[in-house]
Amino acid sequence: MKRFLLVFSALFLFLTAQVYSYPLREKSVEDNKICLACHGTTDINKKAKAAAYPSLYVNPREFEPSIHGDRMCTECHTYITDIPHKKKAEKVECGRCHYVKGIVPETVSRKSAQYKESVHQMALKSGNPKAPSCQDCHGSHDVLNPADPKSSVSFHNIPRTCGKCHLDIYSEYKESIHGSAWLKGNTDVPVCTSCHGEHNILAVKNQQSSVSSSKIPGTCSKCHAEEQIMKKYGIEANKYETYRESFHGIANKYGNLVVANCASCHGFHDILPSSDPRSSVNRDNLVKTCGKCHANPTENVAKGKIHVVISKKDSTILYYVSEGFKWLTICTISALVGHILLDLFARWRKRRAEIRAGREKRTSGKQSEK
Amino acid sequence: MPDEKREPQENSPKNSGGKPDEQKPITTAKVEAAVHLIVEEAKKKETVKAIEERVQTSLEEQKEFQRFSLLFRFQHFLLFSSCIILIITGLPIKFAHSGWAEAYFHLTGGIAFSRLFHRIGASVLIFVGVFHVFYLAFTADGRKNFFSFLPKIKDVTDVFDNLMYFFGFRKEGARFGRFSYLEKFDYWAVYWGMVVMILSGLILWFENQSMALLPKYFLDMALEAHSDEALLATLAIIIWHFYNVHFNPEKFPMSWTWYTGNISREEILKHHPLEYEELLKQRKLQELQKALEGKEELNGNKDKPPGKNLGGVEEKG
Repeated sequence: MKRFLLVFSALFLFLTAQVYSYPLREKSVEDNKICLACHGTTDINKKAKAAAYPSLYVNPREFEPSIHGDRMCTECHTYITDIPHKKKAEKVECGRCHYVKGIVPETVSRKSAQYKESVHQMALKSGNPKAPSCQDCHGSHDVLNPADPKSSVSFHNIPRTCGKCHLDIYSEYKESIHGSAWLKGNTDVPVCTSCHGEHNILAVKNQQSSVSSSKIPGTCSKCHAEEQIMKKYGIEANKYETYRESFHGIANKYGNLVVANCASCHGFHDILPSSDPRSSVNRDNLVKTCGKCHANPTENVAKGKIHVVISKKDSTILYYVSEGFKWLTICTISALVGHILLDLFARWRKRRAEIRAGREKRTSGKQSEK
Repeated sequence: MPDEKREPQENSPKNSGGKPDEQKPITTAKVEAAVHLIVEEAKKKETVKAIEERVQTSLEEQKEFQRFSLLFRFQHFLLFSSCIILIITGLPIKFAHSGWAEAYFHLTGGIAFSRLFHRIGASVLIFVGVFHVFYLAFTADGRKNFFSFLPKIKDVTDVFDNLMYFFGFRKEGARFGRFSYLEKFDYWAVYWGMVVMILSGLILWFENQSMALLPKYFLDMALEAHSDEALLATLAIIIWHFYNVHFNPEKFPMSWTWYTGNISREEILKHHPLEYEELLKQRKLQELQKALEGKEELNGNKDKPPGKNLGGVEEKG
């Protein structure tokens, strides 16, 4: 009897489990329908509210066309193994696939690795709950390929996506020459990620960051040294070169972190053309702008070019100073070298004459001996 | 007083001839006096000749001649030390994007090193520049050298003479005095270079102060001048100065005059014959003057050992 009861209760438990618990073992997208039966209706949020959860609703019309539309819910929500599932939700780890080469292409897995080093991940690790993880930028159920204009991280949307947190910067950027052109649909202008990077965003003070004081000239020059792009907007493409040749540029290259870089004068999120009276590099604002570093600036800072090109047309006096020294050097050094060569020639001639005289003396001496 | 004393010696033939007065009757006493004077003069003449010979032999025995005083060498030392520092720390900034400059900055750990040491070098250079002006104005040595350094018409003819020699039209080159035109060029090139480098350098060093007075384009000019003159000076030093004192077959690997201050007898005769002649003349005069001042010396101290007290300033012990 005891044995019977034991077998029966085991059988009962097994059968009821069979009835009430649905094992999610078949790898099929059809499974998603089971999830969406509850999560696909907006009603579920009422329950979520009661349990103080954020939205539990998944819009099938967003999910199905997303880049993961052919993936099963449980591939990301791995902690769901049975239905009804535990009430405790766990965060989805994108890295489960995206860190692993082979599952995703190396170009993608590299990005996840970069994110690990980024300022966002650091903030998250140090306990800032507002710091973004993958989903905050890429979306969750509605992830799209970044090339898709509708993607939250597409060229057309990235400033808005970043602006969700960095609102002040977004409003500054919108007013700038880059931002206003971006709003009009220009695709040459830089958006946030063009300068800051994407997954590898680092703190500005980190000298590895693409917007750090030492790296920013290189970052701006990606576009501003490109003749093809600059030609379209009537901007001289030599601005980077002239900066590089200036003392600012040289000191910047060799480790001086306080010397002026592009952003020190032109601003960064609020860059405006010098013709704009609001621009920090407008002639009328130069005293103030230079005065950020240089003590007691006067109107003199605006007398002369900042991006100096030595040419007859651009900087006449400088051109003549430079030419004067060039010819002075050429003439002086040629005269000196000429003199040295003549001196050596005379020495050689004298030496040769001496040797010859010595030889003749010897031969004549021998002859007289005979 | 010395002038008065020198008179009989210089005019000795005239004196001895003109002394007897034809108007008055000749007395034996007068004749005796005249004879005495003639004998005295002849003795003096003899002494002068002896002194001159003594000076000449002593100079001929002298193997080394001081060319640069200690003060002069001190300035040269400061000048070349500061120039070496300035060139090493400055040229990589001029050619900042070349491979070797990158290697240099990598080695020195960035531009901070160069900025510091360039300014240390500059301070030394400015010091020696100012010091030199005072040296020229307020020391006998400085004044003497300054006047020897002044360009003269002879320098132009020397260039011509030397060119004629170089091309084989003459057997001998130009004969130089204390400073040949080659050395004068070196000196004035440095003079000009110092003025340009120090002025432009100070404008750039104190950029905020200079910008308060000068427009930005003036600073650009200063930068251009500083950079271009630096290259010119470096080339002139490496090519011209180094040839003259290092790579010249006579001097290789180095002339030690910068350190000892001396040049050999062969060198002074070969390269500065006029200076040697001048030196000889001066010493003779000096000795005669000395002899005149001390009468007893003039009156036949012939067997005085030669050389020891000859030469004055130029003497090298």
